[in-house]
Amino acid sequence: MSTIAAPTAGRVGTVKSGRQWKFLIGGLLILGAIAYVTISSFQTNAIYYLTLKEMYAQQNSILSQPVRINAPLDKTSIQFDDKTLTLKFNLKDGDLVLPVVYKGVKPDTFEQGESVVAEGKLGADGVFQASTILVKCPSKYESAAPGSNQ
Amino acid sequence: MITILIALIIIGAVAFVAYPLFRRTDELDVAFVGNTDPLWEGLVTQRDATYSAIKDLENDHAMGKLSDGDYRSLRAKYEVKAVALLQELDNLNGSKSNGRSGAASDDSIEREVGRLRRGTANVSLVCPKCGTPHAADDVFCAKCGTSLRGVRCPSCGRRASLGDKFCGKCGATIR
Amino acid sequence: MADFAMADLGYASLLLSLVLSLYAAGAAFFAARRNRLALFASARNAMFVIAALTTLAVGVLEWALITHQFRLEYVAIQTSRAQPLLYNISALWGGQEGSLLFWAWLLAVFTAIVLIQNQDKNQELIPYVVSGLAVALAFFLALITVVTDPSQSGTLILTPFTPHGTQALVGNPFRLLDFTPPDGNGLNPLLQNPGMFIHPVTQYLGYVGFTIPFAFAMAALFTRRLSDVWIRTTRRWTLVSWLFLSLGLLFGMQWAYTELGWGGYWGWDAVENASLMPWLTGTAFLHSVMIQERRGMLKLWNLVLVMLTFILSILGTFITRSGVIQSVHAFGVSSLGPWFLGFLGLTLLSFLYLLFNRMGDLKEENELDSLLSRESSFLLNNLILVGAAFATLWGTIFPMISEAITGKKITVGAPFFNQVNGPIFLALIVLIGICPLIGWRRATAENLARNFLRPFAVSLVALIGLFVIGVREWYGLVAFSAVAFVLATIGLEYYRGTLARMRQYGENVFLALFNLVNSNRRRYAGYIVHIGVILGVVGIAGSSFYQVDTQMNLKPGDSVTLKQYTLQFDGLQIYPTENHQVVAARLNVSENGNRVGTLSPEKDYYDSPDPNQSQSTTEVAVRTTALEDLYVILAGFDSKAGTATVKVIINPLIVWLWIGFGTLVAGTLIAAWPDPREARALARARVKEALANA
Repeated sequence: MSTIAAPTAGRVGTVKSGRQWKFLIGGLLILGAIAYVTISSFQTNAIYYLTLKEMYAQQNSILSQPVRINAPLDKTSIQFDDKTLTLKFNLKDGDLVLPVVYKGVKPDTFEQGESVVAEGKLGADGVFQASTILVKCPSKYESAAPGSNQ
Repeated sequence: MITILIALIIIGAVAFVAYPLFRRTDELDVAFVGNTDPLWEGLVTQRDATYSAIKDLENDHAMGKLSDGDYRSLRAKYEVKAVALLQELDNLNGSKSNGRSGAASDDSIEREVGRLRRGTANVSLVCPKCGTPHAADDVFCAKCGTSLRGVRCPSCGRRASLGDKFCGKCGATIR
Repeated sequence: MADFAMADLGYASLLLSLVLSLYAAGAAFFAARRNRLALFASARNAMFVIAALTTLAVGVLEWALITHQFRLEYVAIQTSRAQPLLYNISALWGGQEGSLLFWAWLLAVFTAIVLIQNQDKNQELIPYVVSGLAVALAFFLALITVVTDPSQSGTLILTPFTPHGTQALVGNPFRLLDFTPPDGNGLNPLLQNPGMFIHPVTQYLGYVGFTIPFAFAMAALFTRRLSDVWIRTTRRWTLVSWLFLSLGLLFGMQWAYTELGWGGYWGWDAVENASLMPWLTGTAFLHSVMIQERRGMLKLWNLVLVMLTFILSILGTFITRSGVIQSVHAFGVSSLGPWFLGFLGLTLLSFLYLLFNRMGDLKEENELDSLLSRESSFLLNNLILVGAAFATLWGTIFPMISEAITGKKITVGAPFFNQVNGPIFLALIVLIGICPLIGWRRATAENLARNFLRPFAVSLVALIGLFVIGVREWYGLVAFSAVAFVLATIGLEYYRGTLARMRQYGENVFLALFNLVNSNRRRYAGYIVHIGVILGVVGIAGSSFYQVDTQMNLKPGDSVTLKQYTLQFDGLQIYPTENHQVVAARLNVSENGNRVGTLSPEKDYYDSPDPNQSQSTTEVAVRTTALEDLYVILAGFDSKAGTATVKVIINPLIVWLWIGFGTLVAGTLIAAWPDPREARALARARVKEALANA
């Protein structure tokens, strides 16, 4: 293309590759550091995401380990003590029932929730102590329209 | 009722889209894809980049980020580069472009840089025929339609600059 | 019958637009290859028609939403008679189908703007740009007009044999019901917040806006015109789209903070991450193009970055719609997920193919002069930003990948993202501080050390000061000292620059400052943006590290105390408004014993015909000062006993997050503003030349 590049490249040929190496190594080091932090942090924070069936299948191994359970909410089981801000409910999937206790502000959409993602630990008493709960509404922005074919 | 409206819309849309296909087009067809030479484009880009490099160097030196020694050596390097670029552009576009021959080039760089710092550009941007200003990458004058790109000599093929009547290399008449 | 007619009109416009966009894609491409102006003019006209038709479709849908045409399924779901007009209008982009139409409409209008902007220039690139944009448009239009849900309709694409016809279209906002409901469901009250109006709009403007630079990049690759013309042409598009992505983030956080009522504004939720990642790569791109413009380097890198930004934007919308990744924000599961993946995959593959094919044209014009140069610091900035984007991407899509491969879903939560991105962003902040001290091309080490001293001294002073007032946690000390460092650096840049100008041109300080910014707009407006980022960091650090909270059950007359605040409970107030019932807890607030006001956190109860609709929303009460927010939530109450349980949170320094964003926006606007100086200089040059040639 241009005649400018040629002489420059020739003149500083060896110097150029020397400098390039420094940049390459520096860049790789930084990327490596970020990758390392990412992977190690991932391993310490990774949490299994289980359905009720899977949870009961592995009960013993996950006891007192942080896990996330995703299961349908049993709406008839909701109890909220507004004085102590304690929310109790059951997750029910077929025959499997899991009692959950959550301490905190009850999410507004809770009663309408179809399923709940609860993060926490399963206690030895069979009650799940949730530290975080996420309520999933039936297709959040789209509830069943009257008479629709959904 | 609505079907008629929809049909009208479809007809109107198709007509509008098809219309250019049936119009008479003239010499614009040839120049459609434009003859902005990628080589020329690249050189202009590099030239502007070198100018702004020199401007940056001056700023950095004034702000104390660059020592005198570093400043001088870097600046010399970029001035050499700018001179070479201007010469290349010269060959491509004819004498109307910036910079003359090597000897006076230092002055032209200084002038160029001076102008740049005071914020004025330095490119010829008027139609050679009617004098109307145009944008840097226009192909035709918006007012009179003259081609703004360099023409080639029909005889030897050397690029002639705008407004040239005769080829600078072989002397053939250029229209 | 108007509803039927309008639905047909809307659908027909979009179907016609689909046909035209396919035509335009082919015609523009063919026109460029065979040098046929007429064909390109035809394609051009087609794009203008599409812009008009999509505008018509949007107009029809808005009309239906505003005039309560409940026969349209979308209207029945998204609006109701009682719903305020604002949310009936915003319902256009509030639902799945409407948002697809909104996206297509924006893209069509942007394409028209690009055509008008480039009427007389870039003729080599524009046909391919138009072709690319037309393909993208065709994709979105196809999702609306032609794609069906196989589980419902039995066919993948609409055919004459599809049962239920256009009613089976997944993305069609003009689907009709079999009857006309007397009223619609309306939005979930949780969404009836001004944020609903502005956040999706700015977010989409940002996402769609980045399609333009990407289309130019593809065109540049295809035509082998890989100097920085494509970058310069799309500079303002990039800047403005980035601005809108930033606004999207701002309004999203604001909305979460004021509406969701948990005292926070960011949860590293999948959809939140989806809006952050293109912003990160977009920021990297904004910086690295400056290197290409100055040095002709990093051409390959810039192409990859703009592609990444585009891909991440589409990925964002995919995550929101496919239900593949759990999120509070998701639209809900739809069958459109695989189509987005397909589009993503095809785009990626074609881009990579072009890239490898054109590799030889990507000649670097320069090499870096020195490791200690602004170029290297920009490179470092890029590595950090892209690193953060990838770490976030990893955490966001890993559950999807692990499930596909091992069958087990493994997820990570906020702790992961904080642990990884925290240090990364801290490094970035320090870099923001160091970078201005380094000159382009090369910085003399001694000079750098000298220039480094003063800001460093300031940060030490800040460190000591913080320690003295009681800040002991290392992360707080580090974060705020870094902030002080950066502020000092930027302040010094302004100071020295102004001084240099005053010396050189003899201007007074105000004129010098004004001209300094004006003549070096990119740099000094960029510093303003950096200040905005730093202020944002102040807000984030304060509210993340030093948040305190408490909760208490109160009878009338009881008080709850948190730090220097005492809140005395007056009693419950229960009253109706136009569309909801309010339960408020009136609290008298005192600070250090002095009465400073009242706060009334509420719970609002809405009537809704749909038993599945949320019936209550929490309205928090916030008292904002420059130092902290006093944030109160009504967590529970007993109307018979007249008691209330409140949660009280103190968020230190959080107002600076919003101020920081505002500063960022101001800086970006200054940078993006058309430069009258350029125009004047150009005009001056032209006049001079005209005189010389006369």
